[in-house]
Amino acid sequence: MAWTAPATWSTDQIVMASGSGSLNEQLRDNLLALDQHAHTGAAGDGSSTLTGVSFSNVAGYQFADQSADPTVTGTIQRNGSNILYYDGSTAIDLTASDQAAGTASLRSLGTSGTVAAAGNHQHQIVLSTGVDGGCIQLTSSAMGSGDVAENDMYNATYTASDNNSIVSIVVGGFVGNNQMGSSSYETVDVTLKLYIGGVLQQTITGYSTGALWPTGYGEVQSLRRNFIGSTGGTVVRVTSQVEGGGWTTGLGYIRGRKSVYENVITV
Amino acid sequence: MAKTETEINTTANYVRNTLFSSEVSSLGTGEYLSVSADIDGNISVATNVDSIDAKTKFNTAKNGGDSNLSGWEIV
Repeated sequence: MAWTAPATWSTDQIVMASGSGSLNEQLRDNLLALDQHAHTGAAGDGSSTLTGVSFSNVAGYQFADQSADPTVTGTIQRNGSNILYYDGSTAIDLTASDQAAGTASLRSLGTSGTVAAAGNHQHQIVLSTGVDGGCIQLTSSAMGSGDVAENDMYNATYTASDNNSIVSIVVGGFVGNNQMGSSSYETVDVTLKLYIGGVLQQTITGYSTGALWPTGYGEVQSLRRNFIGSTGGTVVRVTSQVEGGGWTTGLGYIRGRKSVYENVITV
Repeated sequence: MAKTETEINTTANYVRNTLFSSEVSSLGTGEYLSVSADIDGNISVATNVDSIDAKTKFNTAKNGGDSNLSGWEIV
């Protein structure tokens, strides 16, 4: 029964039983239309589906138990006491915890492969058996005449066995001979420097020999440094610098030794 | 913040040649005073002269406002 737009009656108007504006049309037929119409989406009839619907402040949703897992892609469905989501290939249980790695699920805190690490967890570092890079004698650095600018005693690339490694280096130096000319011994002031990857790491300055025999005065401090190893190599450089005066022919020289030790780190 | 090459060398020389200048000038035969400075801001002073209290002298100067020592720690 089609819907008829409601009429507006005037004062003293006689309303007929049938016809346009009649009681049959306005009351009976329109009430029947309201009672019997289908939700077809046509104007005035409404639709059986909702589009663009949003909810807010909803207290909760209750899923009816379907006693089966969802099988239609994009469906959330209750099976017993579990809520599952079908992603097109698997019904993922959204209420289960600690599912297999790679499967989205709630996680408890712990240390196994299927639980989540706590925010304050710590890693234990394990060091491999150390690799002794050996101890070598540095190239002797001649003193020359008077003050001598910074000279390389060692300048080479250390190639680590692994990028996750820590390399320790210790260098010591000493005045091997402070004889100047054929028989004189002069005061020598030595500065040693250690560079790792082209960056100065440490300077030791101020060891002075006496102006006398014997030789063999050593730096009483050592150059020492740890750095992260690289399989691409890291340039290690040791230099010496001499300050002194009063001689013109230097026979003396500075010597030193460098040792290196490497440990691969596993976390 | 890591120290630069200039800062390392300048501070090592300052500590030995200025802060400890009187001690260095008084060193006798066989006595030494060496200074180490590193990229982490550590200073160490080594000497075989028992009367030299390097840590106290360094910290007194630093706490007294010596700007050359600001950012450095003696170890």
